[in-house]
Amino acid sequence: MILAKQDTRGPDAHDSTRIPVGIEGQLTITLRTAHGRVAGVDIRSSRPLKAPRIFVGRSPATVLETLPMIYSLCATAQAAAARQALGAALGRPADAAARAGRLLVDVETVREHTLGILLGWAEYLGEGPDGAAATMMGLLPAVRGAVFAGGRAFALDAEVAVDRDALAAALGQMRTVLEERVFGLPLEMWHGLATPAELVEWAEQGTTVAARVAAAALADGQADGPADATFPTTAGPVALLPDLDDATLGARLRPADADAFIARPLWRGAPGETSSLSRQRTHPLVAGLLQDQGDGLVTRLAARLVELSGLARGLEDSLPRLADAPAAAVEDGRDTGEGMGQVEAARGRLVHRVELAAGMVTRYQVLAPTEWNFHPRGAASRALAGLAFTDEEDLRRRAALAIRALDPCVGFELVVAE
Amino acid sequence: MCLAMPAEVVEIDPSGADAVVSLGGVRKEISLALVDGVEVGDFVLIHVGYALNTVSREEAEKTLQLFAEAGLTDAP
Repeated sequence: MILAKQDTRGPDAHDSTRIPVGIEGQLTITLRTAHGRVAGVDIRSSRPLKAPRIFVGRSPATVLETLPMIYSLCATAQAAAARQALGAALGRPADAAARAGRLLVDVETVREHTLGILLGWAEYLGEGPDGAAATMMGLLPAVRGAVFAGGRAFALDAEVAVDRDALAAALGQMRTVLEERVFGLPLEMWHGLATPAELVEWAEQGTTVAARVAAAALADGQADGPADATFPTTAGPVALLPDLDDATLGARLRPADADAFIARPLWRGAPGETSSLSRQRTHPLVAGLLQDQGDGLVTRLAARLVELSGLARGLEDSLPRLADAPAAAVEDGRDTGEGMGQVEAARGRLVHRVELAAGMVTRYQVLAPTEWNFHPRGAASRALAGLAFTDEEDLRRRAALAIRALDPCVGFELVVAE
Repeated sequence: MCLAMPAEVVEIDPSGADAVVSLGGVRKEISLALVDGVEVGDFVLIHVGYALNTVSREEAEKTLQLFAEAGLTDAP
């Protein structure tokens, strides 16, 4: 089934209704309004969560070959989680390629955060996409080719073979885009911002899309305010999803009713948030913002920028060092026929679980961050509840930015109802 | 999880900024802001209105076949 509805897009599309073409599904987010505020939020998803059944009956090698073709935005995170899960199920030890693969996931996160800013945040300002976005699309293939033999990063027999010059060129280009088009400052300097006051100063003086959106969010106290007590729609703050070990999470994914958990996951009764904010909560700037104004829009935008600057700097250190890394000394695993892979992807934690029999996949499960963050009672619902606005156009712009701050991995349709 | 379906480029705007793709017979306008050198007849992967990258016809057909086998779409 293919949706035939028209999609709105582009610099003029303040209305962020986006009917995605194809089969990726979408989120339908309905805002019920009363007296200039959002009084109720309803989130429905048509994401095809059973799509991983596509892998049943196939060999691990075929799964790894197929994955990057069917997942686009998050292909690297998906492939890394799959290689980890399949490797565990086959009793193959984690190897040097697995470590390099994790760094490649960080490169994908850098790309996704940058695109989110250069396209999504720009749209909030009524501006078209920044040309640097196209440059950023080239980063991942360039790094993959510079780090892996034949650019094959996630095959079971992937090999690390670092081309230092090509890697340096790719990383140099990444730094240029980030410093010139996102931060307007050297990465080190931006990552060193430690207090909300320093963020305010950067936002007020900055000319980049990121600085101007941060300034708009900071200036707009309403956007940061917690839900007004008159319109309580969620019960208290959303919990951040804790780290869960493979055994614990595996036990939740193994039962026959796991599909319901995958569609609307809860941990200890709460739809935990897994995002830049949950990962960066201890960075001094993010911690300071959380204390001052809670988990509002400014805090989320800042957490994304903190993660972006920190990951980019970290990659500059760690990727070239892959060249000197000795073959990883690891313990041999056991062939259990069951494996888990957990990866911190751009939008939050991505989990794969696989069961194998006679060398073929018999069950494949994917638990993705969008299901936690866009759970009907999750972080997005809370971010939208109580949002104040002047008119419908204003509400749509604000709501779109609040949604983009959590960055769903599919398009969303915004419905405003009285 | 963000499934991507390959779509064939059937028209390119004279400015080169936008294109029309065909996806299972449904025509749709998309932006080419993120990709270089796309030509009519190429297959591209799309996410919310943007072409993300080009894929070969062979890869595109293989992917469409997979989706169809899994019952996610009609046969290509």
